[in-house]
Amino acid sequence: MSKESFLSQKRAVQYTAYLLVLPAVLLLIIFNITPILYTLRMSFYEWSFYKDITFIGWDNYRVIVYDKRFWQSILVGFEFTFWNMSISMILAFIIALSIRYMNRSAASVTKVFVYIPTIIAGTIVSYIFGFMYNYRYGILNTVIDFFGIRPQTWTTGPSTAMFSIVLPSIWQAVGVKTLIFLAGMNEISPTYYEAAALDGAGRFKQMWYITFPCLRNVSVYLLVTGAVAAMQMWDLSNFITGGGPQGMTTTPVLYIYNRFRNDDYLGPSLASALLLAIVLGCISWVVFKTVSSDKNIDG
Amino acid sequence: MKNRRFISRLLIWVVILLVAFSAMFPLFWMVISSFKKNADIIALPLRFWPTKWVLDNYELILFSKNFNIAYSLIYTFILAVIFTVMTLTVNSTAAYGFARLEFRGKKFLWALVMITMFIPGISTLVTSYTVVARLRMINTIWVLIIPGLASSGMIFFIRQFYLNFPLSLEEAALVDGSTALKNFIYIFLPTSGPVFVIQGIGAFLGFWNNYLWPAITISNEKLYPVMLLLEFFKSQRAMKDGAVLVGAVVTSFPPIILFLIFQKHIIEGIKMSGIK
Repeated sequence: MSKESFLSQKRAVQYTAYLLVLPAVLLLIIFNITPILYTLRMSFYEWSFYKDITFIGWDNYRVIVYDKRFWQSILVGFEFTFWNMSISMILAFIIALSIRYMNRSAASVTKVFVYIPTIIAGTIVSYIFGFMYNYRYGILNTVIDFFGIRPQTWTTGPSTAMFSIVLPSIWQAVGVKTLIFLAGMNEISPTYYEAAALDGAGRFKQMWYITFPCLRNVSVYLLVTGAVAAMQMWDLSNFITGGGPQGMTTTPVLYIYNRFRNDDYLGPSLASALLLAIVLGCISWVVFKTVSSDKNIDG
Repeated sequence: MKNRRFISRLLIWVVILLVAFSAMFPLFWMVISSFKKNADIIALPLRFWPTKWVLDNYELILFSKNFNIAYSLIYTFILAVIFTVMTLTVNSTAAYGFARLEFRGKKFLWALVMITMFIPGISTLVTSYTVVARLRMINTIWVLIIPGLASSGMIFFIRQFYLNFPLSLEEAALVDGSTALKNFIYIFLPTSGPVFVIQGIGAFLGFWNNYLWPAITISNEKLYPVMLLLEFFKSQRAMKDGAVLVGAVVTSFPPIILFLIFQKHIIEGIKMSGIK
C-alpha cells in the first residue's frame, strides 16, 4: 500500500469514527450532561414553573439540611438497605451453594425460578404484594390466622410497614445475586478443594477457608451495587405504604420525588437530589474501581 | 455415609421447592385470583380456589370500551421494540468506535461518556423534564424513546466485549481494502449476538417496566404506556380488584415469555457482567 493511500485511509477512519461515536455522545450531552449541569445551577436559584428565577445562594441547601424529614429519609434509606442487603445476600449465597450440588436439569430449573421475580415491574410487584397484605381479604392475614396470630395492618402499622416493603424487595433482589454468586463459585479452581480434602478438611472448613475468601471480590461488587440500588428504591414505598406511617418508609428518592410533586419551588428538590447524588456517586465510583481492576482474588 | 448422602439430597430438594414456591407464589396467586369472580376475591373467609373459573375481568380489560389495555399493550410493545433496536444501534456503533478506532478527542469523549455513568437518575429528573419540554417533546412518543437511547452502561458493556476481539482478522481485512464501517458490519456485528440479546432484553424490560419517566412526561391518556395505564386503572374508583389483577397479569406476561425464550442467554450473560 502506498503511503498516500494509507494516509487517506487513516483520514477516512477518522470520519467513520466520528460518524459512529457522535450520535451516542450527542444524545448523552443533551439528555444527561445538560440536565445535571442545569440541576447544579438551578439548585442555587429560587425556581418555580410560574415565576421568574432569582439567585438565592445556598438557601435551597439550607432548607434541606434543616429539614428533619430529609434526615429521616436518609435513615430510612439505610435501614431499608441494611435489611434488604443482609437478607438477600445470605439467601442468594445459600441458594447458589445448593445449586452447585444439583444435577444439571435441577440446577437450570432452579436458576429460572430464582430469576423470574427480577423481570416483573415494580408497579406490578407492589400491586401483588399490596393485594396479599390486604387487612380483610389478603392471604397473609389468613395464613397467620391459621397459626393463631392476630391479623396485622401490614402496610400502615408502625412495626410492620418496613417489613412490608423489605419483603418484596428481597423477592426481587435474590435472583441476580444468586446467579452472580454462582458464577463466582464456578470460577474457583477445583484443585483447591481437592487439596483441602486431602488434608482432611471437611465441607464447612472448605467453605470457610476457600469459598468465602475466593468470593471476596464478588461480594464487594454485589454489596456496593446492591447498596446503590437499594438506596434509590422508591417505587415499593410509594405504591405499597405511600411512605407512611409518619414517613417511616419514605426513602430518600421518594422524599425528593414528593418535594418535586408537592412543592411550589423546585430548588430544594434539586439540592436534596444533588446531596444524594454525591453519596451515591462515591459508592458507584468504588464499584467501578472494583469492576475494572484486574486484581486477582488472593486464593 | 449413605445416610449423610440421603440427608444432603433431601436438603437440596427442600431448597429447590422453597425457591420455586417463594418465587412463584405471588405470581401464581395473581393469576388464579384473576380468574375469580369479584365476590370470590373479597370473600370471607378467603377462598383459595375460585368457586367458578370466570373470564369476566379479562373481557372487561381486553375488550370493553372504558378500560381497554389491549391497545396499549400493542402500542407499548411496538415502541419497546423500536426503542430496543435503536438503542442497540446507537450504543454498539459507539462501543465499536471507542474500542477499535483511533480518532482525535477520543479520550475526552470517552471521559464524557463515563461521567454520565455516575449520575443517578433522580438528580436529573426535574431538569430532564425542562430539557424535553424545551424540545417540545412532552406528550409525544418521542419523549418515551429518544432521551433514553444513549446509555453509557451499554456502551461500556459492549465495548468490553469488542476490546477482547483478536486484532489480526480486522487488520487483514483492512489490508484487503475493507473499511472501518465494513469491518463493523461484517466482522463485529455477526459475532455480537449473545451481547445484543442480553443488552437488548435489558433495554426492552427497562422500557416496558418504566413508570416514573412516562408519568411525568405523558399526560395524554391515549399515549399511556402499559405501566402508566395500569396505575391509572388502580386509581379509578370504579375499578374492582379483579380487573386490576387481570391488568397486572397481561402486562407481566410479555416480559416473562421473553425471558423464557431467551433464558439460557440471559443466565449465561450474567457471567459476562464483568466481575472477576
